Amino acid sequence: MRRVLFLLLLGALSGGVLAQEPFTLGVTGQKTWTISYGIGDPEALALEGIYPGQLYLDQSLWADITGQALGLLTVEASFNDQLGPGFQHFVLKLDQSPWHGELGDFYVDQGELGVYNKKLLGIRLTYQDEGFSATSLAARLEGISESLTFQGQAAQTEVLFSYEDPEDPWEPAPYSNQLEGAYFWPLRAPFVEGFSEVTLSLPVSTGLEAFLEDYGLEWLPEALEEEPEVDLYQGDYLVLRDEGDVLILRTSPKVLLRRRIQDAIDTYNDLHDLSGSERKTYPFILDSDLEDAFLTGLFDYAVLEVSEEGYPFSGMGRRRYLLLGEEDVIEGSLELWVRPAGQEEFLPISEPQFSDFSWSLYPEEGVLRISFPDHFFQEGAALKASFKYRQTGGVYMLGLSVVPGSERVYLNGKPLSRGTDYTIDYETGVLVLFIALTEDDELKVDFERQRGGLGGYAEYERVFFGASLEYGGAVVSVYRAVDLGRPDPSTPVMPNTHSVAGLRTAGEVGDWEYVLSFGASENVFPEDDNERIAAQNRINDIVALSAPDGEYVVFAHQNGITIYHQGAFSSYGTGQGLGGRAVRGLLALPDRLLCATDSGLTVVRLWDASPFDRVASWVRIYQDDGFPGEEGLAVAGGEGVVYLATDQAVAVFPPEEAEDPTAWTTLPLPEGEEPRALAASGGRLYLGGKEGLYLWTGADWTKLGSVPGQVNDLLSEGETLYVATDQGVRILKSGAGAGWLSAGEEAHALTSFQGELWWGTDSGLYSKGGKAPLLEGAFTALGGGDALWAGTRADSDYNLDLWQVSPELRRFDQTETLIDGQDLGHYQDLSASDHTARGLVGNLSLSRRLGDWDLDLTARTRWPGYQAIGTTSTSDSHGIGFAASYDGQGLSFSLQGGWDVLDLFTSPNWELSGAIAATWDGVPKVSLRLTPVYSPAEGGFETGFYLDSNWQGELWRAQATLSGGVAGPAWYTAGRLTASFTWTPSSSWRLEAQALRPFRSQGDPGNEKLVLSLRWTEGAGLVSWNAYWTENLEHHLLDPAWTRSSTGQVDLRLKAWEFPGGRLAPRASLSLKSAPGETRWSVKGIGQLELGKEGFQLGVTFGQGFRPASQRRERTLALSLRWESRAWEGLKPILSWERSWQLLYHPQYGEKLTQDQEATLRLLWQSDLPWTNELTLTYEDEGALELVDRFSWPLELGTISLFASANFEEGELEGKVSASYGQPLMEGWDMGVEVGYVLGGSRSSGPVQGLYGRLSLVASF
Amino acid sequence: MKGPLVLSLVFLALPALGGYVGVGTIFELGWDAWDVGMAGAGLALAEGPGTLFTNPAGIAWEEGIVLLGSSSSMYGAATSSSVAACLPGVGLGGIILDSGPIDEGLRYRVEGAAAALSIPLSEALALGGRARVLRHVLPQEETGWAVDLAVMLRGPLSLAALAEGLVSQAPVLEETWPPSLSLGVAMALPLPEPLTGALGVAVRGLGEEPLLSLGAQLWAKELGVRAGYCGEKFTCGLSVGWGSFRLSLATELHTTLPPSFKASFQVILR
Repeated sequence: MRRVLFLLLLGALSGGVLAQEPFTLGVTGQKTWTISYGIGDPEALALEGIYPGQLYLDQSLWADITGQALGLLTVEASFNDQLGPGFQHFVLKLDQSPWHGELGDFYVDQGELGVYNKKLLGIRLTYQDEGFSATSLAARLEGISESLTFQGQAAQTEVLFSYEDPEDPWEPAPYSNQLEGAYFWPLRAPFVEGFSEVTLSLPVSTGLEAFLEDYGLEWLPEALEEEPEVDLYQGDYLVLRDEGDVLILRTSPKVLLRRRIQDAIDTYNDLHDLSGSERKTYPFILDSDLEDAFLTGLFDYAVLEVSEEGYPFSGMGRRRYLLLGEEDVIEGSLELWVRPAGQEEFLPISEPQFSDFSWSLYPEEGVLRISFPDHFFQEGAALKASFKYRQTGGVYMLGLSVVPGSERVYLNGKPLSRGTDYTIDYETGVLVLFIALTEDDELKVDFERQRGGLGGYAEYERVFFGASLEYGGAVVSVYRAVDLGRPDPSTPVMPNTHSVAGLRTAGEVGDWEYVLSFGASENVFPEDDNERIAAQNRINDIVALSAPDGEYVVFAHQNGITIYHQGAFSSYGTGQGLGGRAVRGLLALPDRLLCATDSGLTVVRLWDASPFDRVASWVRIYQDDGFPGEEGLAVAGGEGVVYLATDQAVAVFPPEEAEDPTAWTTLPLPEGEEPRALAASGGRLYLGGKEGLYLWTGADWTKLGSVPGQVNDLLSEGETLYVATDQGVRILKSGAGAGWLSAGEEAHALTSFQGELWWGTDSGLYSKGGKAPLLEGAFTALGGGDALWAGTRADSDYNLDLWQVSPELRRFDQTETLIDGQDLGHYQDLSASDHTARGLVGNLSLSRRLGDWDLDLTARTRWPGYQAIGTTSTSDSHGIGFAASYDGQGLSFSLQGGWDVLDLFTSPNWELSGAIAATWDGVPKVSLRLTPVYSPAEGGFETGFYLDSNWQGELWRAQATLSGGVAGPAWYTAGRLTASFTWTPSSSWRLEAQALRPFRSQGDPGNEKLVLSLRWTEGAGLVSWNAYWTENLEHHLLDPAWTRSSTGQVDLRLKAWEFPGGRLAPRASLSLKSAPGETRWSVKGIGQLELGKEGFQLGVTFGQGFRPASQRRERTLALSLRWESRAWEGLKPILSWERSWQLLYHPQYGEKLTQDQEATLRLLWQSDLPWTNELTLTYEDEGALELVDRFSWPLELGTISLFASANFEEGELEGKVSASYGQPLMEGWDMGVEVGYVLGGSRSSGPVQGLYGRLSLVASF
Repeated sequence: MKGPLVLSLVFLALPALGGYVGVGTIFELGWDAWDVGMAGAGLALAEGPGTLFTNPAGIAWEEGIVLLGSSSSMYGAATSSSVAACLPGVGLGGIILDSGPIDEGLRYRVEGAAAALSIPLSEALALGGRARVLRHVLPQEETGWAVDLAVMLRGPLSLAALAEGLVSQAPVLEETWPPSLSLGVAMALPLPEPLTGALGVAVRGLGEEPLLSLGAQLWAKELGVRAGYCGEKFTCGLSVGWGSFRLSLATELHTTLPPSFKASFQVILR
């Protein structure tokens, strides 16, 4: 298709239009070549992006190109190799009537089929003649459509508290979502901000030493004593002012203790200067049973200290505080639902059966305090909280790699403009809105994310093609978007094919104008119905082994391994130490377990107790390490050797060399074979695969023709070999066929237990001699030591069982084994016919004018399967409607009505809606709007109302508004009455009063507010001032007590005092803020003094604050001084110094003084000399020092520049000295040379340094 | 970001992969944007310093001194750059690929250099030879080399053949740098003045993994556009020339990977 269109374009070019003036071109840009080389320490040179001893060539180019050829071709291109592919632009346009076309990247605008603003890369060609046009396009979609909606500055969220993780029900819920709530301690003394410190300590005691020794950490007490306590991060806890102060842990105490132990291990390594393999490491697999037991055991020794009061971990409380995860929760928006254990439905907490459940909300902190009966706290119980919370700022994150220009931003459905209403950074996806939103506003952003860019991963390439024809008033369009490619086993979604066709016609019939449109779509694997189903997990192998702490049974499956030890199951995957996700085979050696995985071999050392929970036990061997292949497929033991089949060879090695692949020897695979099983017996090595059974002859493989079909498992007993094939169980004696043990059904697994032979098939588990299966099910693995175990393949509902067959028959389902029945790495295809959405859409609108009235009639239908390309929304809606509007002198009136049917194809429901609006432009100006809706499905009638009146005088303005809604039949009304009055008696004075009173016939009515503000701006003689005062009064309508907060500020500016040789300009300001939580005032004075060529500025700020809740007083004093001199010719020094003190006082804790200071000296040399220099020296508290010097000397030919910098902070030094010279070579060509010295290092690591040089050539055009 | 680059480098640099195909693949990164825009189908149309990396026989008919700098953004994940220079019958160029620090102590760096000589046996026939040196610098220093031979026949129907790795030593001793053969045909399009154009077909890598490339170019004086197709890649490009400069841009659209871009800047000193 693309080539056809390209040839069409060529045809247009050669169509006899070449006689015109051929060629104009504009190119601007710059090309740079830079060669770099450095010697010295890699760490120092890394700051310059150089590795020592290596020559670097860096090139950069940017160019903007516009060109015209033959008067009909236009080229636009912009290229910058410092930006990503999505930010390059190229388009070739053809503009020769009747042909118009584009080749390159272009946008598709909103069309009848809903394709909006998509950036495409391809070709579009249009033939446009009088009364007729045809357009076709074929292109690749550059982006992935996404849409985000933000609910003003109030975001809605829902939190579930339970015992189980809702995503993985076999896992416990994360700490923050556990129904038991957060751990807490009631504090014995008030918590005072600025005074109280929270630390975690593990005091070393005999008990702790013995405990650590049990886990092999007997060396750790030394490090714990070196740093007996560590501060908690601010985010680890919060202090709630409840009945007393309560400290609540935001971070799980186990995470805190894990961090403490890891820090102590680092301290130990530093103390003993350990490096490389000698360094001690955290010995536990994260979240393993062993780690859990260790951290839980530490609770007996750990203590939290707050203001030197100790709170042992063993005394923590729970079941009282739930963390909602967001702060500044909007009261009244919180809804709670409860699900008692054993039930499936959530019920509102207001139900009578929950009368003994009480709760309260701490909205600022986002904490829910609960008091629920103890019997509620059982596994299966849950609490769901839904609420709104306030967001701050106008910054909205869209995610990385937004396609430039692809965004469409709507505020309450109205489009916003870039640059005017918002700005956007396409690379980082940050949208900054210039409009302040209210809680009720809805901000919707439709945009495209670059395919393959960061955050824009796409499974398939997507192309888009189609055509439209327009003749007279009719338009016919057909478009299709297709995902190209086939899914591989690990692709989670099916490729989409989305086709749409539409017809649109418009015209006049009598006095009526009409627009009629129809559309149809077929969407194969739409976005919400394209997820491939997971393949079924299966047990691949079972072995028993011994470790220092007893016997284990290990089950290999598609998601890792699961162990059974002391009556409990635990699972391990790649996160815990396995090299690959699926484990195909196991071999237990006396001191190791070998796991053949889909990514190499994993060895588990069985040297310590709980070996699977120790990091040091896991050794992974990949292809890069010498593993002969990518995947391990089967493993078996022979006489003193191990045989390991991979996808490329069979490795042979002694057991003690299992971790050293360089000591392995390899045998080739049978030609074209994929191994599935190995067996070694009596000096013979057998390999079973997809094509059959093979015997190793010492030089090559011999295929044994007596075993037909695929081999799944092998079992050798002396001279007898049992072969599980896809046709049954074959018996071989001394390599020759000796009959069938079972025939007619595929056998998956074989084992021998206590002299009896067992095999598993899709129908069940069989033993030799038994005709009927002992157990029914699909058995895929058999094994075990003293007991016989059998593993299955998950059924279609992903149920996977393990069976202990002997000594007693016992079934273990997933509630015990915790094995996921889904194979998490493989998917199965879906049927297209079952996952295709089809639908229609149709619209008819009629309009005419009747006297002073405009009339519109509409009818529309949209089927649920209809979806426009490029959108994600679907709906099942149908309706008819009318609109009439009148616009007379001083009075306007409109009337609308409609009947809509929703969900016609599933559960039909209808509604009648209308709108009446009138505006009288008199005195006062009055506006009225009513929006009634009758919907039986929603429970009846509902109407919104809005009445607004507006008066305006010469010096005053008043407004009163009543708005809200009424709903029935259980009649309910809610709304708000607002009023405001503004009086401006003169240009200096402004008085403003505002009142808001909400009303609500049910539920929380909300807060009533009064705001009074006064502003006075005046100037008189020597002084001018600007003063304002605001009083806020607020109370909850159910609580008559008003709370008051006041803010005020006075800014004074005295007329500058001029005297011989200078002038003085003083300013001062006083501010006061009083609120229930804190009272604060401050006074600030600034004087600017100019004495001849000297300039001074002195600033003094003094303030005081008081927090009644914690009885904490605060005093602050800040001084600033700035000196600038023009006394020296060519030299301008600027010195600035700032210092501040903060004094905290508390009746119990006494006084605490903190201070901060910074000084900066800048020396600017700007004389008549040809060179300039700027030196900046900055000093900050705690000894941080920074020096930067820049020297520039333009010569007749080029410019010499010198740069020096040094930064010393917290014992670390970074420095650089460089000299560069720039020389124009000829017009448009420049050359630069730079040599530099870089220095870095710290007291502990010693200095590092390097030398580098750069040579640059720049072409500007 | 560095994943594909690392994979490419691992593919090129490590012997343990077992497959020796593609030892010299790094030199394809030296192709200029003109060659990329044609998807490599311009084997029999070779001209400019970029021909050093595609078909060294083409250097025989160069005029004056031409310098070339190319840089590319590959799949939005990595960048590479190369330089080349040629004068009539002689070409020299190099390419450096550096992953930068990946993990502590892990970094990949490969350097390649090529030098070519070409003799015009007649106005239409040229014979060229090329030596390539491939040096793995990090993580392990190893050097390999190969000698190639090329022939090119110019005319309304142009033909070209390039035999690579006739004599070679792979960077890793246990490996081989296998020989391969590429063949190309190009045909000038009969277009009215001032348009010129050509179609090209090439089969590259016979003996390794053969790839068929198709491409077309169209010039209107100093403005050129081109498009090509090879395997799972569709390519297109643009060239503009003014004064002593020529700027070429090309993009490569892969069916499953993000697009790649290449920019080449030529300075022609005549």
